[in-house]
Amino acid sequence: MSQLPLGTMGRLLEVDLAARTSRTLPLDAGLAHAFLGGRGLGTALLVRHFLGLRDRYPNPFLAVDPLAADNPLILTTSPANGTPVPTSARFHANFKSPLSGGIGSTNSGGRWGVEFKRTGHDALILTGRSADPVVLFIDAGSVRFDPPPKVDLDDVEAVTEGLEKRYGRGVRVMTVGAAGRRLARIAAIMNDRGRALGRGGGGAVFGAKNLVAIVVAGSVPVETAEPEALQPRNMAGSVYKAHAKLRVGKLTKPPEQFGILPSMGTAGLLGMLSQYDELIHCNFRDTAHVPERIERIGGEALAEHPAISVRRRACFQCPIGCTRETELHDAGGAVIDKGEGPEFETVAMLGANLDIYDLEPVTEANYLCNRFGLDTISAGGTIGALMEVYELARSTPPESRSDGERALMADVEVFTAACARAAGGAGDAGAFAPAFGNARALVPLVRAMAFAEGGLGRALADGSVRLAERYGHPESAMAVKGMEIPAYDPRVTWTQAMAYMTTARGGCHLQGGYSAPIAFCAGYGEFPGIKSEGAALVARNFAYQNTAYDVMGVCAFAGFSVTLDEYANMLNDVTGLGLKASDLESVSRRVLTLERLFNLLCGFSADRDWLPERFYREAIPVEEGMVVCPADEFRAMRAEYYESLGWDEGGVPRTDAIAELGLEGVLPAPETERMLGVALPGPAAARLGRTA
Amino acid sequence: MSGRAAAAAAHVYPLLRDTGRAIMFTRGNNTHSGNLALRDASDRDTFHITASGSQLGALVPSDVVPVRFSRVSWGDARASTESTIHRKILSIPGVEASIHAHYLSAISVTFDAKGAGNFLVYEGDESGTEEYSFVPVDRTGAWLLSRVPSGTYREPVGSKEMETRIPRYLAGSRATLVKGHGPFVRGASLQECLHVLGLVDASAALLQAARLRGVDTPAIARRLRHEGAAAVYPMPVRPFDVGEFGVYETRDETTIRAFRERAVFNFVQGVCPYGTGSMSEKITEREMLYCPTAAAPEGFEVAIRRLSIEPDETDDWELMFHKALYRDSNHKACIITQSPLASAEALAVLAERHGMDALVRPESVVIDYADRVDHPVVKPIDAEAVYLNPRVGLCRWDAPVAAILDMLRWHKGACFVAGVGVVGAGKITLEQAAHHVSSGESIARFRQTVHLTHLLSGGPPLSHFEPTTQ
Repeated sequence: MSQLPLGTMGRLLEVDLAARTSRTLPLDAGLAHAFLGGRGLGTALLVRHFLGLRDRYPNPFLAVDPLAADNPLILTTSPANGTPVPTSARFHANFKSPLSGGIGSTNSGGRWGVEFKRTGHDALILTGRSADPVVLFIDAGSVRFDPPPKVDLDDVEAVTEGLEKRYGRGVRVMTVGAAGRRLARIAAIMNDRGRALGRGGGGAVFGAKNLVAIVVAGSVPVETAEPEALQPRNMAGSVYKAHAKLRVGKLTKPPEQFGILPSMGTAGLLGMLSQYDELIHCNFRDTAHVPERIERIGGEALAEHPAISVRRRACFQCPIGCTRETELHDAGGAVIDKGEGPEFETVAMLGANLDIYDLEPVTEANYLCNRFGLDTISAGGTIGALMEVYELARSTPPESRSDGERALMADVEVFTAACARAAGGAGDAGAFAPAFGNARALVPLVRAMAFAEGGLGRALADGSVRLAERYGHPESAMAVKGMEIPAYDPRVTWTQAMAYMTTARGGCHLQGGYSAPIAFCAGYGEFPGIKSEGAALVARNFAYQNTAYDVMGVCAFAGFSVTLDEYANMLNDVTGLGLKASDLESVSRRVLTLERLFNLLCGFSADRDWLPERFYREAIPVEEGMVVCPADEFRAMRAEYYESLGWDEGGVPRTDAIAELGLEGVLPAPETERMLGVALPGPAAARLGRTA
Repeated sequence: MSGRAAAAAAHVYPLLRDTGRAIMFTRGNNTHSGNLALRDASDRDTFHITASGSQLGALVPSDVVPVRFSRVSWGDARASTESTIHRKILSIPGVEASIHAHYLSAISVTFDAKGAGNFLVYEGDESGTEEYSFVPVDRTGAWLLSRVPSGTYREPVGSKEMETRIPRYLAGSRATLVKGHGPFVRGASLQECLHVLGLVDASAALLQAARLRGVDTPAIARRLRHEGAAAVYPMPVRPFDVGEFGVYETRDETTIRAFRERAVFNFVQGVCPYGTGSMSEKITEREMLYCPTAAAPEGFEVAIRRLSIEPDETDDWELMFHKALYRDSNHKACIITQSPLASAEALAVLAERHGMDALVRPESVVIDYADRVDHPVVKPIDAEAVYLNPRVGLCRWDAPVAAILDMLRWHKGACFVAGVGVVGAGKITLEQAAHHVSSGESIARFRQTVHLTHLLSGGPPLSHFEPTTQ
């Protein structure tokens, strides 16, 4: 264990933005073996950082405000990053989330992560808050604190362009736009222009540090254990096999073979999800869409839209190429705007979810999210909550409105009046009302959200939970742990519902296991769509799988074609380790348990592992009849999920599980117990020995 | 989970379901392998295909996915990985359906190599990948399949290479084999595809069984490859026509039920591919009910024609035989099946008795069927068959009808016809005929097992188990 795995650079870079100092630290071999990289390494470093604050706070996990200087931003890479392993561009960010108050954990592709790793570092730990806006420049030999470019710092495109001009085209730029700078709790960190560390409000943490951008210019090669085996043309090698599987997998095969992701991007999944009654509608009221309307906003429409031109792009080492660079044209063919996307979640959350079936405003809204740094899932979820609350308030006689509803109507009035003014006074203010189906309101709402303009903009910027509470209808926020849930209705896919519930970062379709499309894409007839028995274990296994992807720094989409065993083989050729898929699952369990402990220390309990009440109470019609999430069954599923991970019925990891996973060295149980103020549960009684 | 997609597939689902189940019952797929594809009759830009990983033996409506020919659509995400191959197959003029399955014998014969040539005829290399032909050596396969192109692929699952070569092969052939993977077939209907799949697998099973029993099948295959089916088997085989099914020229429901049940039994027991063989019952001195298939899956139509037993010049060999049987014997029912193992065993016994030339150059070896005592027979070795019939008549494919009738008379209505199949006849019911064709495959299987055990493990020879009683 004393030797570092190959593929790692062996160094961490720690930057104190307040002091404008930096230092390199050796990568702890124990951590590298136990957590490998990415989300695993990031979580461990985050926990270690918070433990280091114990001299200032009795329980720093609970006490530190996510937007305070003490909240670090940790960016981590993985051994596979920068190697020929397919889709190995993913890197990770960890922080305490301003959206959930628990762990912030988010992932991005593009090229920034690889470029950073080639500066000779495995991770970047950012602490403190700069007194002035600052650009951090990192290359293999230096770390510099430079002034911001003289451009509109709210504009990701402008900042990127300005810094590329300053440092040269080969550099990679990470920044936040207006949203992060205004501490929007749903702000994303943007890299490579249109790629996003989207979820959990990392953009606000970045902005709170007065950090304008991080520019990286790498030159250090990544050493691997078996370079020959990693050559894509070596037919006996692990990478060749992965490419072969990607070439034939129906989601990943080339466009000329009708591979969905290469042909249409992720938006190509929209039609399928709608066909199978999963695609959300009107803030999760139902999943009923008119098929012709769906056809107007899906991947097929994007590919053929007369006003949108599309180019296919790919992340580093990705043969799939699901990225879409698009340009929006006016009637005369002139380019109105351009950028990346829209992706599936964007089209679903800003389109179908809002009853808007028009690609042009959805695409424009998506551009704004990228340009100003907003998480499109949370943006769509928050606007969905707003539209629902607005409809409730509007349908209530003015004299009967609650304080919240009155506040909403007042904020809406200001917003719509401003919209009308911006439109040159053309049309009445009502044309911009935040109502379902009103495409005209979409772009102004996103802009107001990004800039936190006025009462409505500020409410939007802070996410659906805070917005719905502010306006008197907390039940309208479709979020778990404060984070908006994505576009698959949990009533129709209970394993995905389990992931929404239990994922440490909140309502997420990836980190806790991306099972929703598997029933269709992988086609298991017995897949527990609306079946509780066994669903928890299916969800747990998907959580292991997706966590392993995050730890390895590879894309979940590749997992549609390449198995975990095959990724383990490639990782072994990178690292020289002899890992099996089951070993990766053990790493995943370790990461999930450490994330769990982090959240418990932040004050979370099992109550936070619960869907919004709508899903337990309001049945929706699908082909088989009415479906709902039965609360009792979901409680039982949750308990089963906990038990399968070695946690007690309250979701608290048991001491034997902590010891078995080797977490004592990262977060000693006595320290955890001291900060929690209660003892951790001991081993579960053997099942056979249990009595009533 | 089904959703709106299920409703979209409602009009094609039952046929796909029944076809998938039929393939499962004949062990043509494991739980999740294979795919079925069918062009939409009304929307020519659409075909329906089974979804990835769906269980073909137990399809549910949402397992059937619409896919566009002209462009990518949501169906491509749910459809089988091999949908791009089917898309091109279905673009061949006249093709309405295609199936890929994993029939065991059809896969097994592809485990051959250029220097071995046990099962396949080497045809050359294409861009470094070897091409072979699978040449059926039985009469039905020789006439209905002729040769089946069999490719070796660098990436034999869902690859671009397959997408290019398989449709090209299928433009000129009803089936193709992917080495180590299985057959792809095409047809004007799913029924025809199922028929072709059965032909391929039965012919492969026959070839394999005959080769393992020491028959010089490569020599027969070479002759067929170069001279055509008629050079070896002068009696053509009636081509499959799904249009003739569904006609019942009897109003007796019990008769219809009896024929249908018999067809399903024969299909499931693997004695006959769907759409091959024949069944009949004599109903008057001048008429018979004739079913132009001996096998059909559950849910599929058969046909019952009321025909005169007088010969007609348009009659194919099987119909001619049924009529001759009823004119010249007391039999009242008859079933003819392709029976691959029995047919192979018949080839092996004839080769042992008369030498390989009797099969490779039949015109040079005359077989005497007239001797009531010393004529060719197959001797069962299992107790059940011996109890029923300690000797089963045996003929070569070119035997006169009279010789086969003699065999039926002398051997309780059972005759193996080498290269053709089994003829079973009954004097009371169709069930009696069914018993013969059903036991024919097991008779052959046991004999083959003993033979191989003798060769490979030093077990007793066949003669050790063969009955000495008549």
